[in-house]
Amino acid sequence: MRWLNSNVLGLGLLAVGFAASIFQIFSKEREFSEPGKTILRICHWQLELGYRDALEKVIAEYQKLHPNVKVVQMPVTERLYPQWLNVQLISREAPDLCEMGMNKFTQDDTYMVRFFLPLSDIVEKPNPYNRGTELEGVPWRETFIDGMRGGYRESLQDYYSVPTTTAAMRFFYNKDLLRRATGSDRPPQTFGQLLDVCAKVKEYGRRTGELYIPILSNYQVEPFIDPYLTAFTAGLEPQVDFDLDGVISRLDTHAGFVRGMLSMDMPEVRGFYELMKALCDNMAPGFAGMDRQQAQWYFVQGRGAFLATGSWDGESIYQQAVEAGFPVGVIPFPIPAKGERWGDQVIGKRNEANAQGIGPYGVYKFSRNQAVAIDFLHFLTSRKYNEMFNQEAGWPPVTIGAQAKELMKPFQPDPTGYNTRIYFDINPQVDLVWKGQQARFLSGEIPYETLAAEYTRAVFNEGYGGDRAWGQEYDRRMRECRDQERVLAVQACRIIYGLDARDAPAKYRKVLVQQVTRNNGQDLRARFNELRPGKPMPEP
Amino acid sequence: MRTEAIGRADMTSMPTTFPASKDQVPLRVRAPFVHRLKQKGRLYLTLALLMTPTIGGMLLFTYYPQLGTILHSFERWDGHMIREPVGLRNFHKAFTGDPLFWHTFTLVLILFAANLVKMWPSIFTAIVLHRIRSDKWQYRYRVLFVLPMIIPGLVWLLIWKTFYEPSTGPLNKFLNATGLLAVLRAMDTAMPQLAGALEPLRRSTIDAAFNNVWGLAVFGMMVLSAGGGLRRLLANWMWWLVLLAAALWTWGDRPAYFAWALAAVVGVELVQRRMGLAWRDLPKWIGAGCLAAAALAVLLSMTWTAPTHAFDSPTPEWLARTQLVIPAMIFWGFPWVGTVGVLIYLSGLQSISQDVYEAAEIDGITSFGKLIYIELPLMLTQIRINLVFLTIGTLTDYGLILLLLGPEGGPNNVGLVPGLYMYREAFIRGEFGYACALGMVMFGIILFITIFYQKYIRVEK
Repeated sequence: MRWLNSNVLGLGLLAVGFAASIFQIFSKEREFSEPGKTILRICHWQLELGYRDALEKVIAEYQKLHPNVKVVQMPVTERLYPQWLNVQLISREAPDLCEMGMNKFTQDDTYMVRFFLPLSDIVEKPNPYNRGTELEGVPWRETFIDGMRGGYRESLQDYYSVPTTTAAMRFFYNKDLLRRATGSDRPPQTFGQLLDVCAKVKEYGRRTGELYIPILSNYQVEPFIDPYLTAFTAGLEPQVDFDLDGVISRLDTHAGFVRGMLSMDMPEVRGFYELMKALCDNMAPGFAGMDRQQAQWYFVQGRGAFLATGSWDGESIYQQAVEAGFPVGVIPFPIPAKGERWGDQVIGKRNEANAQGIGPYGVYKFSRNQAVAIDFLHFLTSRKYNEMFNQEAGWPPVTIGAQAKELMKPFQPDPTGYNTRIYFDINPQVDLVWKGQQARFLSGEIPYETLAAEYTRAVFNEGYGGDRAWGQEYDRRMRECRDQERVLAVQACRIIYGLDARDAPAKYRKVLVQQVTRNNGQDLRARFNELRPGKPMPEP
Repeated sequence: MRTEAIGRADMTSMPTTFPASKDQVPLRVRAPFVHRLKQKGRLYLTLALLMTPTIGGMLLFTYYPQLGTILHSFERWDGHMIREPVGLRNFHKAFTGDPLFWHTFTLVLILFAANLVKMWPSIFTAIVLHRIRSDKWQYRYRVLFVLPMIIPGLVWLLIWKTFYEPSTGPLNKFLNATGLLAVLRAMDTAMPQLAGALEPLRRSTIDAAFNNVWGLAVFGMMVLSAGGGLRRLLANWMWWLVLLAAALWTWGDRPAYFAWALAAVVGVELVQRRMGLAWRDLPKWIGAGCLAAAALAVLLSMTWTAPTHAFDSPTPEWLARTQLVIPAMIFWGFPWVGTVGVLIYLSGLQSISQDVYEAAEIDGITSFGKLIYIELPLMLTQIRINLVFLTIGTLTDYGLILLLLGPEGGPNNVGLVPGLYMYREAFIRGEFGYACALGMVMFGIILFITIFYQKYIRVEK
C-alpha cells in the first residue's frame, strides 16, 4: 500500500468533505422541492425550546389533512432575522409566511403594504377549521382574544398579519432559594418587599459563601423600562400630550423637553432612575454585558432568585428548573406601595389591556401559494390546533376558548392600570446615546447628573438630536398619506363596483378622516412650527 | 552553421527547389499570419474559457455590489422603495454633520496601535517554527497550528464572551487565584497618582516645547524622515503629506510651533551632515527618542488618570464598564498567534535561501542577528500583506463587538467602531444610502493606507 500516503489521505478527506457538502446542499434543495407537492415555507426567529417542535406537530397534522402540501420551517436566529428578511423581501424570494416584527419592512406601514397581503376580506369570514366548536360561523378575527388587533394596521385600515400566541413579561422566581434565604417562599408583593428579599438573598450568599444573584434578566434592563416608567410618568400625560391623542409619543416627549415641561431633574424622572438603580444594584455584576443565555443559565443553576423574561422562555425555564430540582413561581413586576420609598411618586401600575396577540405571520404578497398560506394560518389559529400548538410550545394561546398550560396562566394580561409613559428613545441617534449613558449610570460608573447632562445634550443636539425625529416622522407621514390614497382608491372601487364591500364605506370614511386631519403631514409641520417658530422642518 | 550561411546569403543564393526533409526547412520561412493567429487564438480562447467562471463570479458577486454601493452612496435609499439622488449630501453629512461617525475612529486608532503590537507574536512564532531543524516536527507543529481553524469564528467569540463573564469567567478566577487582581487594584491607585505627578512635568517640558504630546510624536517622525536631501523628500512625498496633515492637526492653531519644529528638523539634519558619518544615525536616535518619550507620556500620564474602581470587587465587569471595554477588546485573542498570519510569515521565511544563512554564519552572526538582519528584512513583503489585512480588518470588522457588546457598542458607546456604525445606519435606521456613503469614505481611507504600505514597506532587493 505504498500509494497510501498523507497526500492521498488528505485528498480522500477533501473528497469526503466535498461529497458531504454536496449531499447537504441537495438535501436542502429536496426539502424545498418535492414533485407534485405544494411547498409552503414559513420563517420565524423563535428558537426557544418547544416552539419549533410545536410548529412541526401542527405541520404534521396539517399535512395529514393535506397530503399534497409540504410545509417547511425556516428558523433564523434573532440577531440575523431583520436583515435576512429584508434581503429576502427586496429580492422577492421571501417565504410564503413571514413572522412579522423586528425590522422596518414588517413594522412600517409603508413597507407592509408593499410586501404583505391585506387580509380584511378574509378575516371577516369564519375559520373553516372551527367547524363543530362554538366558534363555528364566527368571523375569523373575532375568534382571537384581542380581536386580531395584533395584526391590524390603523392607518391602513386593514389586517396584515395573524397573531398566533400572546405573551407578557414577568418575574420567574426560585421558590426554594427564597425559602432558604427568607424562611418563606411567599413572593414579594411590592417593590419595597422585593428589595428586602434581595438583601436577604445577598446575605444568605455571604453566609454560605455561595454565589447567589438576587435579580437576573434575559434582556438586561429592557423588561423594567416600560412598567416602571409607566408607573412614574403616566401622570404627566395631561401636560405633555402635545397632539392631544391621549397618549404620550416620542415627539410629545421631545416637545416636552423643548417646552421645558419635561426635564431629567423632574421628581418623576429622577425617581424612576433611582428605582432602576436600586433594582440594578441587586443584579449580577456586569449585567449590562450579560446576554440572555448567560442570565438564564445562572437562574436554572439555582443561583438566581428572580429572572425577568417573557412567557416565551417559560417552557425551557420550567423544564430546566425541574431537572435542577427547584420549583418556580411567576409574579408581575412589583411597584412601590404607599408608604414605601417612591410610593408617593408612582401613579399606578401599567395595564396590559392593549396587549395584543404576538407571533404574527404575514402572507407574502408575491407568494405563489397565497391560498395555501392562508389556509395554514386558519389551521394554526383554529381552537383545537392553536391550543395544541401553544400547549406544546408552552406559550399562552391566542384563540378564544383554547386552554393555556397551567404554568402560562400567570401570563394572562392584566387590564387594570395606566397605559402611557414618556419615551427616552426619541430617535435612533438619541437612543444610542441614551442607552450608552444609561448603562454607565445603572452600573454605578457615573452619577445621575452626568446621565442627565449627556442625555439632555443629545436631545438638543443640532445634528442628530430630537428635532430630527420630527423630520423623520414628517417624511413617514407623507409616505403614509400616499398609501392611504391608495387605500381610498381601492375602497372607492369596491363601493363603485359592488365587490362584496360591506366594510368599504366605513373604511373609506375612516381613512378619509385620517387623510384630512393629517393632510400630508401638515399637522406635524404645524406642531413643529409651534414648537420651533421660524425653523425649517429638519431633513429626515 | 546553416543559419549563419543563410543569414549571410543574399536573395540570389536562395535555394530554388523544395528541401527534402523538414530539417532542411530554412528558419526564415514562418507559418502564415492567419495560421499563427488561429493557433494563438485557440490558446487564448481556452484560457479565457477557463477563467470565465472565476471572472464572471467576481464581476457578479464582488464588483457589481461594489458598483451598487458607489451609486447608492449618492442617493437617499432605504433599501427598497425610496431612492432619490441627493448628490453629495450623504458625504457632506458624513464629513460635517455626523460627529458620532468620526468619534468611532478613536477606538479604531487604539485598536490599530494594539494590533500592530499583537502581530508580533505570530511573527516570532513563525520564526521559531522555521528554525526547527527537524522537518517532521516542523510539519507536526504546523498541523497543530492549523487544526484550530476548523472551529467556527462564532464559537471562538462565544467562548471569549464566557471568558469575560464577571462571576464565573476564567479570567476573573485566574486574576483572583494568582493575586493579579490585587496588583490591578493597587495600580488603580498608583497609576493615577503617577499620572498626576507626571502631568506638571509633561506640561512644563513637552507641552511647552511641542504644544502637546502629539506634537512631540509628529516632531519625532519628522526628524526620523528627514535626511537624504531634496531628492529623498520628493520620493517620499506621500509620507510627507501625511506628516504635514498631522502637523496641521497638531499645530494648526499654533503656527509658531510648526515653524520651530521645521527649523529644528533642518537643524538636526545640518548638524548631522557637519559632524560626518560618525553621527549619521543622530536623526534616527532623536526621532526614535521623541517617539518613545511620546508613547511613555501617553501611557503613563494620559491613559490611567483617575481611579476606575473597576477592581474594587473581586468580579471586574470587563464588558460592562466603560474603562474596561477597550482593554477587553485589546486582550481578546490572547496570545495573538493567528494561524493565517503564521502560515503567511512561514511561507516568506521558507523562501529565504540557505546561502544567505550560510554566508551570515560564516561572518559569525548570532541567532538574534539572524532575526534582525536576515529574517525580518526579508519578511517585509509578508509583513506588508498582513498589515494590509490588519488595517482592513481593524477598520471594517465589527462582528466581535456586535456579539460581545451589542449594537450600541456597550456602555457609553465606547465600543462603537465605523463598521458597527455603518451597520446601525443601514439595518437599524434604514439609511442604506448614507451607510453606502460611509462605506465609500472608509474605502478611501483604506485605499490610501494600502498605497502607503505598498510604497514604503517593501524588501530592498
